[in-house]
Amino acid sequence: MILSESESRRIIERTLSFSSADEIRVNLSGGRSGNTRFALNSITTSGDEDTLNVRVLVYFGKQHATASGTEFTDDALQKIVHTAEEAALFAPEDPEYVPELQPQVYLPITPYFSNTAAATPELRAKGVQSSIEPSINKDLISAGFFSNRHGFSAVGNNHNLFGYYQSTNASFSVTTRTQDGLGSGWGSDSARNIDLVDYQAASARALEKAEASSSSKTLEPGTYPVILEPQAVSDFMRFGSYALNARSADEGRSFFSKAGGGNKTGEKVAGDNVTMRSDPTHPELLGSPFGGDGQPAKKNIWIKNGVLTQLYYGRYWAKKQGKEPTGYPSNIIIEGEQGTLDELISNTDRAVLVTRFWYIRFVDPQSLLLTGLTRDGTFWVENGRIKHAIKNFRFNESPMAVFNKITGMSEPVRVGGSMVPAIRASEFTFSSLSDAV
Amino acid sequence: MKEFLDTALNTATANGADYADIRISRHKNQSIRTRENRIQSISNSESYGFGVRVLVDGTWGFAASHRLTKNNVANITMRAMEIARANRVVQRIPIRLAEVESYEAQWNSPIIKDPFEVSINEKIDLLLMVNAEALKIKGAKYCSSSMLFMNEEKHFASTEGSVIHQNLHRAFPSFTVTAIDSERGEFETRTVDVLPMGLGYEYVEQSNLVDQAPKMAEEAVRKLTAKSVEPGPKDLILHPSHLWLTIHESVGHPTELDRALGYEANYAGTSFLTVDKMGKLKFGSDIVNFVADKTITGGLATCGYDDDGVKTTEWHLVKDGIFIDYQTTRDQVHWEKYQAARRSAGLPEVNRSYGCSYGDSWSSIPFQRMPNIHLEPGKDALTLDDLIADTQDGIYIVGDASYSIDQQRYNFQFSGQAFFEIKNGKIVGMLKDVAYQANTQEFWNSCDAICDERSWELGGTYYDGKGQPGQSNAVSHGCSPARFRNVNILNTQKQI
Repeated sequence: MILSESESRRIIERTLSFSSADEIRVNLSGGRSGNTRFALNSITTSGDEDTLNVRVLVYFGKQHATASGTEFTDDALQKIVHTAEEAALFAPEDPEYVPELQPQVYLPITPYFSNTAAATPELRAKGVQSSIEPSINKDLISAGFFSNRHGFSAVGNNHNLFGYYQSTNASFSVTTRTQDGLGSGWGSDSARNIDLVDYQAASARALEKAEASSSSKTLEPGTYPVILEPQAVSDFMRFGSYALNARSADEGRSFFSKAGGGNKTGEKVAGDNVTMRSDPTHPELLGSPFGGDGQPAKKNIWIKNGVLTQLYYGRYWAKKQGKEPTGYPSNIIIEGEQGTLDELISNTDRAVLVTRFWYIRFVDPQSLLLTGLTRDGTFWVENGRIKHAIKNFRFNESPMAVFNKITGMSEPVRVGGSMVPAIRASEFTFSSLSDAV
Repeated sequence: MKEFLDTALNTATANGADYADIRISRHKNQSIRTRENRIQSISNSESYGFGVRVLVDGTWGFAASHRLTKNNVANITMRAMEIARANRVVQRIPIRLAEVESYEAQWNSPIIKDPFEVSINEKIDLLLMVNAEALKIKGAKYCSSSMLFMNEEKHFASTEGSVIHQNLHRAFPSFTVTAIDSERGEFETRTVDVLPMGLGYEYVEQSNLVDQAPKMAEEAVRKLTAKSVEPGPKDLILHPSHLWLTIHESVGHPTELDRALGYEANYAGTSFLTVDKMGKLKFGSDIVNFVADKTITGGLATCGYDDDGVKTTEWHLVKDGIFIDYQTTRDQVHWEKYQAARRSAGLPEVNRSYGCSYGDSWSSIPFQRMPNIHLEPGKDALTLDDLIADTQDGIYIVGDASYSIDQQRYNFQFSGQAFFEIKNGKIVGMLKDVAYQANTQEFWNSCDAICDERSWELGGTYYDGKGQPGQSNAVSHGCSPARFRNVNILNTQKQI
């Protein structure tokens, strides 16, 4: 359910009026989502969801607790406030208390497109149909998912903070497999504006990769040069962004902790060609203007030319360390170079080309060592050309190690909530073969 | 309540639905999180709403809303009908439902103490005491602890005539200790081996968290100076606090029938256990038996009836090492490839669902989710001590940690919380940097000993993800300690 700005303000003020707490914050969120799922070239399930949620955080001095619910009568709102207040009164004082925010100025971001909000089951079915038909014509099997969402978010507190925005998002993905189960390809696209979601191109990529990967050869596990397509970069490198928390680094439990104490800010942690930043105003990404506590989203440069320039600071840790709160990374943008993925391949002597990764997990948070597998199209590149498909691998590798071995990049493209290039690295460790297709 | 249930079913029937069901549910969650001497958060959340599912000319439609009024139930039912009709043009495989009895029933988790009735104060005191006890150990620098409680109360009604009311509870207390060597810039963690269960607050009381805190802290500190493992093939003894996750990933997911036939290909993947292997594939050694079950007391997936209205049961997936069956829902049983493979393998006819349908919220479409899946205990008397005494060169692994498996469930890699080196039948010290990598079928065929029922325990997870949009399922896995021969051990230390 979408509440307008004035409706949101009215409910927030109404909820604030039910509380006797020293400080109270109210978050409202809701929206309408639709989705259509398909497999074996046929629609399987499809649904529509209408939601509305209220969350209340109260403080008595430095004691705090939250409660949330989905009912909006006065009685229900009073009950939610009472539940939060009752729990807060039991809580010991929080030595890390920071006062609620005063009114803030937000970046002018409108991540909303009316055509996404208006998308119908018929429109999604049409998209699915256009994905399935080429698959049937080539005797291939496709499975996928097409969804759209229109939501809103509002925040207010008893210090007169107020924020409100609406957002939309649409997403399409498809996996196409050969009848014999030996080939598999994948494609996807997502955007705030459903008109920009190119489901036909994504379907064509999946189909092409399925056919191209159907007769794979075995390459022995080992350390090879690698080209990670943008989806693989997004899958893999985002784990590096999870480690950007300043507090963990200062407490000695992060890759960015420094031996002897403190963190690695100002130190070289990656190659000269690596710059990683966040920008909620980026026109292709359009992030949220504020976070759950009402903090404005900010632009940040985390790594510049290989040097760690900034870690993420929450409000308490920033105050303790004499820093400015950064806001949580609203998105991840990795600066690339000129040229396309095809051009990067054509300039490569030999490398493993990875379409995307699957089931990535931390093995060692100290070194950011990750494990996971390649999936839906892994190829051997030689003398500037894709020579043949290869069997999937399990890898054990660290994004920070790869950040130090980048020998080439394409220009960045949109992948979900990120802008990332394809990356070529001189070394990447594949530790075993997987029979999975 | 009845008027809402009737409104959905009558509206659907009057407008041409071949089948309809409605779930009205209230989901309550409480979480309390602490670290060292402070409360990080106390949160109580409640979500209430309904979802209507209709079958029109062999096509599913589903719609859900938080606004429970008679008019809105009718409107949402009509929206589900519209969605089904919009999708008919792309429906090439009409949905069919297996037969089901109709039930008018009530089922409750057999809890002794309702967690939502226990004071916040008592819970906070316990968690802060855990942190304090852990931090008394020299070298233990941080301790975070938490309690999560869930209550799912749902009313289900279908055009088959069922009206079912269920009240499910789950509880998950936990803590993690971090030890730090700041001079060397190294750290190690140890999470307690207490896993979520479908029980009430009595489970928290029985878990002895305070008593366990010093031991976990000591192990975190010992890990800092433990010997780095020598890679290569070794025998593994896996404790139930670890083995549950290996069962979940390598047995639970590949035996989902929707995965095996391609319905999950775009997200979680497919399965190496294709239907032609049913009744034929030597999945594990002769002593390996896996039972699927939704009835065990304390199981996270345990309930009286699934979200198709099917009464829950138990059945074998692997019997004497042979893979023989899958997990199913009402709309899967008739699938021709499944039925043909059963006939071809000479397996008994199956014409009823095993009751594996679940939607994680009123707003989620129910689909096939994993039941509790257990490794049956060994038939011969065997304790953990006996097993260690019988092992010459091995590693004993306790607790779950890093886990990863491919999209067809062949190749997996797991780590753990604590690793103990076994030499000549004795534990000689701790190890670190340990992970093992294996192929599912080879791994389960290397199982040569399973302890008896005296050391059989349930492990499990609150957060098993599957489907698009993603849904979370809580599921338990029981087992006794078991030994696996010549498993490939990796050393996970990496210098950058």
